[in-house]
Amino acid sequence: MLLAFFLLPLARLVGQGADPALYWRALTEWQYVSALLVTVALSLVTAVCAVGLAAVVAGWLAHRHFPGRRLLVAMLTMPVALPGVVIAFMMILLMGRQGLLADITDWLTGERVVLAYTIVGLFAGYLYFSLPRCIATLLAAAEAMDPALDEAARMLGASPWKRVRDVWLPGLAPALVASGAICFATAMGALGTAFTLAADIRVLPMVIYTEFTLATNLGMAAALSVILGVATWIALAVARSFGGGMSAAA
Amino acid sequence: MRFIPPLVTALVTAFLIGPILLSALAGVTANWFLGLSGGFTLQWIGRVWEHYAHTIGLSVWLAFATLICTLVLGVPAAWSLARSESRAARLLEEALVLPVAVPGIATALGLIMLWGAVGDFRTHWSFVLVGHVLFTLPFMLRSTIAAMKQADLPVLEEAAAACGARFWRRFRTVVLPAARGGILAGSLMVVALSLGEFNMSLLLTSPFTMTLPVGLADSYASLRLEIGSAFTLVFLVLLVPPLIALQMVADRLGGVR
Amino acid sequence: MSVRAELRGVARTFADGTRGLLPTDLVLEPGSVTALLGPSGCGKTTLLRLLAGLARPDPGGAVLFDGRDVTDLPVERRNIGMVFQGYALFPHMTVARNIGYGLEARGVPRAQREPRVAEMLRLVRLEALAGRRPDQLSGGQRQRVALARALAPQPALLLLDEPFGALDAALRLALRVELAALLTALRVTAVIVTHDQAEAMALGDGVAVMEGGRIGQRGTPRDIYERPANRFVAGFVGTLNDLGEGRFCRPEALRPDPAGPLEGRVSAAFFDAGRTRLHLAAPGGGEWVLELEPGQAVPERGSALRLALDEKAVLRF
Repeated sequence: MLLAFFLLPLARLVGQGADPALYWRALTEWQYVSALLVTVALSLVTAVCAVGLAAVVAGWLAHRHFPGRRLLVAMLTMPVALPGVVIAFMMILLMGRQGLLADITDWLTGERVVLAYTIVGLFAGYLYFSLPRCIATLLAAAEAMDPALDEAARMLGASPWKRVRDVWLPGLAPALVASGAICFATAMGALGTAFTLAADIRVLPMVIYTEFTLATNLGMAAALSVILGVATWIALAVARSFGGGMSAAA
Repeated sequence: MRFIPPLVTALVTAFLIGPILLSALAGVTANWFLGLSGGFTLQWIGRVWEHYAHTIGLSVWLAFATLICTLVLGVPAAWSLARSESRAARLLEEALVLPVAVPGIATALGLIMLWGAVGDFRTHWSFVLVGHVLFTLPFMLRSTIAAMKQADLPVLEEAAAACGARFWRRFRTVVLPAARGGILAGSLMVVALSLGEFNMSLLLTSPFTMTLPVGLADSYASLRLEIGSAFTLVFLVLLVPPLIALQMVADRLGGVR
Repeated sequence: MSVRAELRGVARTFADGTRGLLPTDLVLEPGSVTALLGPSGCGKTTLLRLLAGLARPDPGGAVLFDGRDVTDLPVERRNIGMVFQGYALFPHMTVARNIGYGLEARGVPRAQREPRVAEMLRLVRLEALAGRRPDQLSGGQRQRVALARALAPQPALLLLDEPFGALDAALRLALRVELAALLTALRVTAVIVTHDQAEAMALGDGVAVMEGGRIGQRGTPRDIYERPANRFVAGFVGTLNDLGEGRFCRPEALRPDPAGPLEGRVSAAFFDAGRTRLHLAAPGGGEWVLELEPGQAVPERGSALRLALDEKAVLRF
């Protein structure tokens, strides 16, 4: 079953775009290269920001007990299953022409700031779907850490910053790398958010979709898919080599 | 320095929850441009029903069918992976992240190229089903395998076998109950993911087999804001219950540990 | 360097409302070694964490070091050394860096750190393992690294939470002797939390027996063994024979004597390292335990045995 519906289609995909000329074009023509670069950069920044924010949240929540904690954790991790399109729509409500941001800036400065369709809006959307998964992974990792390690560092007189560097970062390193890699992979392949938000920004999944539907350029769509897949895989492989088991992340 | 982490937590929470509330609210306001002062209405939800009832129905049906498929395929597969100690099984387990790692759009393209021309398959709902099963199966497998491993299943099974239970009885009375929590968590995840899957569905669906998220994208692009919001609200009402249930199951499993 | 530590009316209520420690007064004289002894959940670890500054006392309680109120001082500024229950060694650092971490955190330059770390390594006899990581060490070695790490910055107060908890019996005994010698040599004010009465008796100049969130009795090991304040303390620090009518005695107070006033029936005899421990069924239905001198004949199981009682050693509760 896996063979017929997963491996064979993948093989077919590689085969379809197997014309070296197509790959050459995909990797030299500016419209494709720029899309690849934008996608990689956006995914990278998203992964770094999401992991950074999630690490702060997870570090603060771990081993801390207060009423309403379960509800808070639920709120922080539940959006993991929201599809990209919905997230994109929410970003429009937040930063679009009739969005909250526009209302606030209108009230403050008299000017309606619309960011939803810019790279900022896209980034916010990517961040939105990356955060819950990162928080869930890192919170689990932080909870699994021995609280006595942090206490030992405090007992020895370490400052908060020194504790972050010497206790938390080394302890969470595998989870940080793994969740960062998964974030990156997900962001690379995200179509839904871009489909609604990226009117002017060409990210790779959108280019593939356009090639496929509008230009009916199957060969190029296939070649770009393969490149997208390979780029994603390299990221995951790098993360693996750091010793962070992938299965722990997703 | 001390106030930074709680502040970040608060901001992240607001960023994640705020938009959900905002869109839910927008779906029942009479006119978003006027804000809340314009009053509330259910007319937009009615319009959504007119336009997209078949889409909603199809998505619910698909989620259900996907669940059945992942259960039938996933639970026995998880069981054989969990008890096997061969290298191949370990490798296969590692490979379970594959469908997460291969962008959905790439898988979808491959599927279309290979199967798109075969009879009416392309326009049948089962074509989308294949994509959904591919996407969700790893989640079912991982959740179930984790539960089976945690329950120390091989030892339990040996104990059952030593008591004289044959294969089928062992599977029913020992394996399934031991992995119950994992299967339940996996099922809820599968339903939630299938309901919200977009990356593959956008390519796999045809005008006759439009799923809910694709319909959402359609409504965002072509209809007024309130209808999009109302449709989002309908979607959230469908999606949130399995997610809450998932959280509760996860909490309970975590408590046992 | 050693400090006089004092708790004044210190209590601790947990977030869920349970009382971890009832209001407690305790004075630790400079250079003394105090063992906090009690069953799990008696509040001894809570008391230790309050001394350390890892937990805050309920309002009204105060922690004083040399008369100075340190209640609001966080652990990192109290200049204490602590050996944690699971040792909490930093897994990615070498033994030497673990030991030098406290100096590093205090901003001591490397040139001054190194001789101190070398001195500590010598003290706990781990010179050869300075470059290893914690996961390459045995349990006993880890324990010694944890001790060296706590001692390296010359703390005013040394706190040890079940320091031998993770070790097997033979090793516990060897390390106990070692630690006792070290504490005597260093003259640092120290508190040891343990649930093992033999450990508490061997290591502490003073023992505080804890029960249900409060200190049941405080005294020298001999005091507590021979003059326990109540039945719980008596039973926790040693074997207690119930003679009836509120009278109890230790095993040493009983010896076989054909003319003795008491009689029991021998139910079991255990031979342990030269001595024989005899269990007798008492007439009242209870059980008495006594030890036979080496060389004394062991009576048959089921036979009746008459006993003499040292009336001076009888305890009444």
